[in-house]
Amino acid sequence: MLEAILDKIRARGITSAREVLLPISFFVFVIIMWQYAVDQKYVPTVILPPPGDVVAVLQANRDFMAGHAMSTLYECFIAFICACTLGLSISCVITLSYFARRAIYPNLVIFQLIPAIALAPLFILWFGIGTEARVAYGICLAIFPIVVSSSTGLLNTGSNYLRLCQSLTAGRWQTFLRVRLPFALPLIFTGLRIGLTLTIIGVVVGEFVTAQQGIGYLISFAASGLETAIALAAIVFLLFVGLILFAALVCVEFFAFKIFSGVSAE
Amino acid sequence: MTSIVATQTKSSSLASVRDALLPALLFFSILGIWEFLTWYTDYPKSILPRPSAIALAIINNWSLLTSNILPTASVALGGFVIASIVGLGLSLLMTYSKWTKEALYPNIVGFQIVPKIAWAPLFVLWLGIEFQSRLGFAVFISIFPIIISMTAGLKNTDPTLIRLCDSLTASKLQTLFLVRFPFALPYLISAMKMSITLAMIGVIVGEFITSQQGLGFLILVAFGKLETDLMLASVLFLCFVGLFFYSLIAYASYRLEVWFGNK
Amino acid sequence: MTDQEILRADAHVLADKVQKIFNPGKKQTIALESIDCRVREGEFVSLLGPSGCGKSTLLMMIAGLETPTAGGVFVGGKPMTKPREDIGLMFQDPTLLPWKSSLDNVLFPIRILKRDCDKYQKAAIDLLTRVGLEQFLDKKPAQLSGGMRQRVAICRALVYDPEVLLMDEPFSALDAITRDEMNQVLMDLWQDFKKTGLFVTHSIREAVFLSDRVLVMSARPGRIIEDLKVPFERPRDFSIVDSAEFNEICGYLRSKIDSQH
Ligand SMILES: Nc1ncnc2c1ncn2[C@@H]1O[C@H](COP(=O)(O)OP(=O)(O)O)[C@@H](O)[C@H]1O
Ligand SMILES: [Mg+2]
Repeated sequence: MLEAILDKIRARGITSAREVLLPISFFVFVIIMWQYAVDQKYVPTVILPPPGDVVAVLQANRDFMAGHAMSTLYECFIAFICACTLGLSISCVITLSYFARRAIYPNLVIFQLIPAIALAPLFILWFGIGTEARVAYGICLAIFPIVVSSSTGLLNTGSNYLRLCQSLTAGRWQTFLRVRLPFALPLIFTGLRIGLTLTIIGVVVGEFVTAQQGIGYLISFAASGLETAIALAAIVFLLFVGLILFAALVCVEFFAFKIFSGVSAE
Repeated sequence: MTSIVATQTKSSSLASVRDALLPALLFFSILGIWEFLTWYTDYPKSILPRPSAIALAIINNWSLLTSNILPTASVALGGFVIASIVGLGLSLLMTYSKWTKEALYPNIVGFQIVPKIAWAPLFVLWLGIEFQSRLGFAVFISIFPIIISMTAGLKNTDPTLIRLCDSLTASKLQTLFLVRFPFALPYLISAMKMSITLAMIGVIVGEFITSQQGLGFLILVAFGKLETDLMLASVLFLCFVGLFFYSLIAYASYRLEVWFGNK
Repeated sequence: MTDQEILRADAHVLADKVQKIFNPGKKQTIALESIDCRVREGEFVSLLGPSGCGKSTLLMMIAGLETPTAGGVFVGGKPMTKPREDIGLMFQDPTLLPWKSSLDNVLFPIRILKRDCDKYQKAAIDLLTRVGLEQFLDKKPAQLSGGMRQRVAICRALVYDPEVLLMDEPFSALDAITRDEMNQVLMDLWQDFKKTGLFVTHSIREAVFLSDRVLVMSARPGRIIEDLKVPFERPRDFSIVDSAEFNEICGYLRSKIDSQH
C-alpha cells in the first residue's frame, strides 16, 4: 500500500492538482459530516464523539498515550526483528538444502492454515502476561508469510539464470548471493511487509487479551468504559506506530535494492 | 525404449512417494517426539497437553465443539459474502467513475495503514455484544483486499483489448461483462482467499473480546479453566472450518482456471 | 460536385491535413504535423516509417478511436467521429480472449454487434478453415502457436464483413518464417474478399509484397515523404520476392527511409 503511493510519486509525480485536492476534500468532507451529525444529535457522542473531542483528548493525554504507544512500538520492533531473522534463516536453509526443502516446506504450508490468531491465549499460558508473550505471539504470526514468500522468491529464480550459473561453474553460495537473492528481493520484501502487518496485529491482539499497557490495552479499556474519544485517539497513535515501522522497512528496502543492484551489475 | 520409459516412471513415482513421505515423516515425528517428551517428563497438561490428550478432548467434548462451529462459521461466511458484494460494487464504481476513484482510493489506501484489528473493541461498543458486532467487524476487516485487488484487476485489462471493443462499438456494459470482468477474475479469487482468512480472524478476535458462543469463545473458556487440551481442540476445529472455506474458494478458482483455458 | 466532394468520393479512406497533438500545452507531443493519405476502394496500402512517427496514431484516428486535433478523417465519404461497424482492426498482439475457443473468439464481434451468432457460425468456420485452422476450432489460445493466434485474429477482423481493414504491425511479433506464411495467408484472403486495406509495418519486403501502394513516413512529427506504386500483377506468388525488380523497389524504399537519419 505504502509503496503503491511511493511508486506513483516516483513514476510520474503527481500529475494534476485535482488528484491531490479531490481525496483531501473528500476527507475533510467526511470530517465535517461527522461533526455535523454529532452536532445535530443524529448519533450519540458515546457512539461517535465529535472530532474536536478526539483532538482534545489527544492534546490532554499526549504523554500518557505516547507512553503506551512506545510500549507497543517496542514490542512490535523486537518481535519483527526476531521474526525476520528466524524467517529468513529458515528460508535460506530451505533454499540451500534439497532435503530440508522437501521435508519442511509442505509442513509450513499446512501450518499457515492454522488460524494463528486463535492461539493468543496459549501464548499467555506459556509466557505469562508480560512483554514476552506478545513478542512471541507476534513472531508466531509473522514468521509464516515471511518464510513462504521469501523461499518462493529464492526458489523460483528463472531456470535459465541458474543454468547460466551452472555453466559458469558457480558454487551454491555464489549462485545464492549473486543470483537468487537479488532476484528474490521483491518477494522477500513483500513477505516482510505482510509480516510487519501481522506483527502489529499480534501485539495489539495480545494487548487486547491481556495487558496492562500498550495501545491495544488502551483501546479495549477505553471501549469497555464507553470512552470512545480515548479509543479513537489511541487508534491515531497506533497509526503513528504503524507509520514509523513501515517507514523504517521502506528505508531498509531502498538500501537493500541499492546494494544488490550494485552486486548484480558487476 | 519401453524399459527406459518404465524406469523413468518408476523413478518419478519413487520421487513423488518420497516427496509425500518426507514431510509426513517430519510431521509425525514431531508429534511423536511431542507425545514422548510430555509423557517422559510428565509435563504439566495445562501448559502443553499431549497430542493424545487433545484427541481425547475432541472425543469427550464432541457435541460442545460441534455446536460452536456454526456461530463462528456462519458469521465469518456472512461477513465474507457481504464484504465481497459491497467491495465488488465499490470497485466497479471506482473503475467507471474517475472522480469517485480519485476521491476515494487514496483515502482507502491511507486508511489501510492503521492496523484494522485495533477497531474491534469499537465495533463492540457500536453494535453490541451480539453477533452484529462480529459481523460488522468481519465485513470491515475483510473488505479491503476485495476493493484493492478488484480495482487493480479491473484496471489491468489489456488496453488493446479494450480498444478492440471500442472499435467494435461495444457498450461499456458489454466491455465489462465480456472482457473486463473475466480478466479480473483471478484477482478476485486471490482477494477472496485473503478475505475469507481475514473474516475468520475478525470473528475470532470479536469472540475473544465479547461473546457467549463460538469457537473463539470456547478457546477463552478453556483458557480460563486451564483446559489447554480443549483449547487446542477448538483451535483444530477452527483449522477445519478455515480449511473448508479455503478449499471452497480453491475449488472455485480451479473451475475458473479451467474455464480460462489455463488448465 | 466541389473538388472536396470529388476527393472524398474517390477515396474510400481519406485523411485530410490531419494533425494530432497529444497533451496540448507545455508538455505537448506533436505526433502528426499535417498528413494527407488516401486509399481507394479495394486498394491495399502499406505505411512504412520509423517507430514513434505516428503510424499507430493515424490508424487509430481512422478507426475513430482518437480524434484529430485539426483536419478531417473520412471513411466512405462520411467523417469518422466515433468507431463504426464498417471498420476492422488488427493489432500486433492477437488480443484473443484466453478463456474462449478459436471459434468463439472469431464470433466475439458478432456478439458485441448483437447479430445472430448462429447465422455467422458457418462464416466463422469457413474463415478458420480457409486459414488452415479447421482442426483447431475448439482450442483455446494457449494451445495455439503465435502464428495460429494471429490467423484467428484475422478471421475475427473479417467475420463481420467490414469494408475497411486497418492493421497495425500485425505480424511484427512473429518469427521470419511464420511471417512469410502469414503474408501468403493474408494475400490469399485479400484475393477473395477485396477489402480496402491499410497496413502498418516495419518490414519493407512485407510492404512491397502485399501492397498496391507503399507510403513512407518521416520521423516525428510524421509526414508522408514517398508514395510508391507497386507494379506487380495480382494474384501474386511468393516467388516474386526473389525477382530483381522486387529487390530494386525494396532498395529504393530503404534509401528513402535511410535518408531520414
Ligand atoms: N496517448 C498518448 N499520449 C501522449 N503521447 C502519445 C500517445 N500516443 C502516442 N503518443 C506519442 O505519439 C508519437 C507517435 O506514436 P505512435 O503513433 O504510437 O508511433 P508508431 O506507431 O509510428 O510507432 C510517439 O512519440 C508517442 O510517444
Ligand atoms: Mg505503433
